[in-house]
Amino acid sequence: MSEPALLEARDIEKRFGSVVALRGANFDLNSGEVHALVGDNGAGKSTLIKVISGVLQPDGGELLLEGQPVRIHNPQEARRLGIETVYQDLALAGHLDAAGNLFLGREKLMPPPLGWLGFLDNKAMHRRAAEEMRHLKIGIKSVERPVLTLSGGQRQGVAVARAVAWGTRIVIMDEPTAALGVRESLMVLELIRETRNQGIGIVMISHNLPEVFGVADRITVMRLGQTIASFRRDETSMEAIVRMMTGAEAQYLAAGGSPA
Amino acid sequence: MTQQTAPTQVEEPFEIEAPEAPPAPLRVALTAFGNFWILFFLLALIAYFTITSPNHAFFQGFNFKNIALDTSEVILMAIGETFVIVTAGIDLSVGGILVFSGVAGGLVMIHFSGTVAQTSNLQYPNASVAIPLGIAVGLAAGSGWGLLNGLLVTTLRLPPFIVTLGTLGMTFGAADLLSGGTNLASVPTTFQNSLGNGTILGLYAPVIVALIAVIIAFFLLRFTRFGRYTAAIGSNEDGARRSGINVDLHLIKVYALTGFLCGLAGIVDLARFGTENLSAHNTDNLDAIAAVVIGGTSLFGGVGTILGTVVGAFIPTVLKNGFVISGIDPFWQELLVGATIIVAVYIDQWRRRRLSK
Amino acid sequence: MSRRIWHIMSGVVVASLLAFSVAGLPHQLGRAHAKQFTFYLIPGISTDAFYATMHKGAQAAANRLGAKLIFQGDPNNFSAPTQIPILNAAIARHPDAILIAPTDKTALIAPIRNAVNAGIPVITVDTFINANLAVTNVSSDNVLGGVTAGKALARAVRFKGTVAAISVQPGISTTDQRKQGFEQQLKQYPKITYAGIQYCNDKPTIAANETSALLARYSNLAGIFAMNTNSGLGVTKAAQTARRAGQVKLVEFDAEPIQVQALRQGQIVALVAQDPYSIGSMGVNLAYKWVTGKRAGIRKHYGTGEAILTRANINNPALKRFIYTK
Repeated sequence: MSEPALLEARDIEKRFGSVVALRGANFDLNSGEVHALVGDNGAGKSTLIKVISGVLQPDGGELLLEGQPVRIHNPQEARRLGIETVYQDLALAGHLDAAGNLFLGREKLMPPPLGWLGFLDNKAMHRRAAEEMRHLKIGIKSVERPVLTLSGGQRQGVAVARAVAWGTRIVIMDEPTAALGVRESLMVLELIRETRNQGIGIVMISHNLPEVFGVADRITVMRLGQTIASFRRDETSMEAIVRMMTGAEAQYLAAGGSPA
Repeated sequence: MTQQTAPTQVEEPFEIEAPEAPPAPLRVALTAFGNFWILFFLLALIAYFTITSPNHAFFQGFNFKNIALDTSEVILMAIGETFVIVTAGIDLSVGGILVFSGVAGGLVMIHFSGTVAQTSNLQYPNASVAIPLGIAVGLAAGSGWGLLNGLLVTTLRLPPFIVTLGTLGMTFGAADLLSGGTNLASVPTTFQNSLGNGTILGLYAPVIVALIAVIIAFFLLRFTRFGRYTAAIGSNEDGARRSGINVDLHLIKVYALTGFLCGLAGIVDLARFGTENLSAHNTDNLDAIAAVVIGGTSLFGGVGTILGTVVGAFIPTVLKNGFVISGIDPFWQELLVGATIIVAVYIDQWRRRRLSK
Repeated sequence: MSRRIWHIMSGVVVASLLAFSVAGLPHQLGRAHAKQFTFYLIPGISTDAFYATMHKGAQAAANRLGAKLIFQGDPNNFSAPTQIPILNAAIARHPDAILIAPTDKTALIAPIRNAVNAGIPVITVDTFINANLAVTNVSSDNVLGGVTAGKALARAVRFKGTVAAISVQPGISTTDQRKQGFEQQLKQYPKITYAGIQYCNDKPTIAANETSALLARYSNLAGIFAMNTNSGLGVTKAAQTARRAGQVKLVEFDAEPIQVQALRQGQIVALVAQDPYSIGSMGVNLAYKWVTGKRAGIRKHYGTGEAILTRANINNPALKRFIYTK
């Protein structure tokens, strides 16, 4: 019997009043893979992600981590289970430096007695932060500059490093290159690959299909609250994905077209 | 039909062209004042008044000691205000908390020092018990109001401006109620002579109190987790929350700290003048906020400087003192103080814009 | 706008600030003079016409004697915390004498002692302190003023009814004395009910609010005694707004232009006017005497006169100097 997936979401249902956001969504993720989640606006991608990261509770279906069923009641619990989210707005404190952001909420204190008064061990944090940046091959000359002085791609790097530095197994990335230019997007895609190579499982929401095809190992299409198809990257094409996102696939097949 | 593939290789690692940062202690020293320009400005003012005052009367130990004394209460309030503004909040109630704490502490002191007959004849037989009690009550009162500010801001989710505007009125009103609208009868003379007029190492006691507070606050803001959380919340409150920081609890602590410092300022005020004059503190909040902003802390939060605030607090008092010594027409003085501040802050903003290009 | 223009503009602003400051500086250019004495006059609050009139009298005397007079006071508050820094700065300048109207009987003792210890003689004008530090004190006879006000108010309310008083703060020597005289005099009138005294901290708005509250509480309030300029301003205003000035008899201390106008219009019955002009000039004269060594015979107190201004005598030229002007 093959190893269970790192993460599995089975038949997830979610309702908001009379609006059905998810009606039987299925998703799974292995370690060391990038699994992209695509779909048109309102397809349910964000909702599914929020269920996985503990922001929302499902009304039906179940989540399994390494084969074990789990209930994730809030983002803090998700964190404890090793699930981190890198939000579209990055949630970085711009005035703090990369080390400050990396360790935000988890600061290293000086040994006692200074530690009892809350004194920070900045040297140790800077050292560790520089290491993490090197690990992920993010080029930042100084981890001691405020992150708002960094470029968009570097900020993304800091956000990912923060997500990854704490024994995380699953990173969820919401539109990672949405606000970036070409050069910076390439840098971020490289970063995603590097993260995957560390054995971490990445769920990536994106509208940018060329980039999806550039970095994803698997692609799942959502439409109207359901996960309608799941492919390995080499099993499909962008055109096919677009057809499935827009619901034109059925017509296409009926007209004699070949899938993918 | 060919698939579009995105290029998968980046040519070189992405780097910013930044010079190597200077060694740590030097950097701490250089940025300690956050706002070096404002320090230069203050020194230039001191030099100006030294040169132009008759017999260089401005430049005397006696005068500097008094300037420091006159600034000590504003410094205490402005320290708290710095923390609040770094969280991207604001506290308008500082003067009111000062006054209420002074009145509360003073009333307790007088009440427990002796009978009414004794105290109205300036006899304070139980002063050694009453004075510490009064101080404790004053500090507790200040912290209590600060705590209330914090609770209202975090639970009612109202803008700090509105909340503290409300407590500003409440504290002055409550102080009026407690004191019956008049200045208090005089507090024990030993209290006044020690904390109010006493000197330690040649500096007036209130100055020492302010100095200790400055030192503690400097380290607190810059080198501790408390300071780090303060800046993080001001920089990105939502991000701080998502990082697991208990933002509400921290904000309550920050406002309570400010209340405590205002309570301390109230005790100092009581010691200096023997009583509380409510209307003299009506615009303390503006003085405190001005000190913080002139000192270089951004009103938008995220970054702040305690030493800058201290410099910012001194600029108006140095100006007023210099004007009185030089005999400038009193009706021009307010105008000149305001104009000088605008010039100082403008040049600083211009300098920063230059640097960030 | 280009950066250069901004540079020039800020340079101009800074330069004009410096120019203004220099314009206010004493001129000590080269010429050898017979020693010119420098005196400071520190009022309780610089924006009160009472002190402005005192300044005029003091300045006239200084001009006559060839002395330099520097007038420095807080424009917003009559209080010790705002007056003491100014006194301390004056002491640093080390003038030949300081004339001051202390804002608090006790809080100003220590700072005034500093001045005396530094060798600067201090003359208290108008108010005084509870310590024997000053060379002399020049003021109106405030107890008598209070007694006179009591008599005038009693007569105006025909010796019966409820009356109240508004004052500044306890602890100010002048108003404390007026209160003393007034309350003492009221005891002479068994049919007059005294509703007590309230304090307005020298803020006309507070005095106005307190007056409105009194008018609301006592629908047949017969009269009010306001014990200084700012209380008077507030009391008059509130009575006018309530349209009861004239019905409620107002007796006020001091004679600001607004009060005089209200007097002429019949809204105020009587003004107990001090003579701040004489307080100022007498203060400077005494300071000059002291610093030139003519100390024998200087008494501890000099009283200046008061005048009762009524609608009947307001235009009397002999009384003109009792009307305060800014």
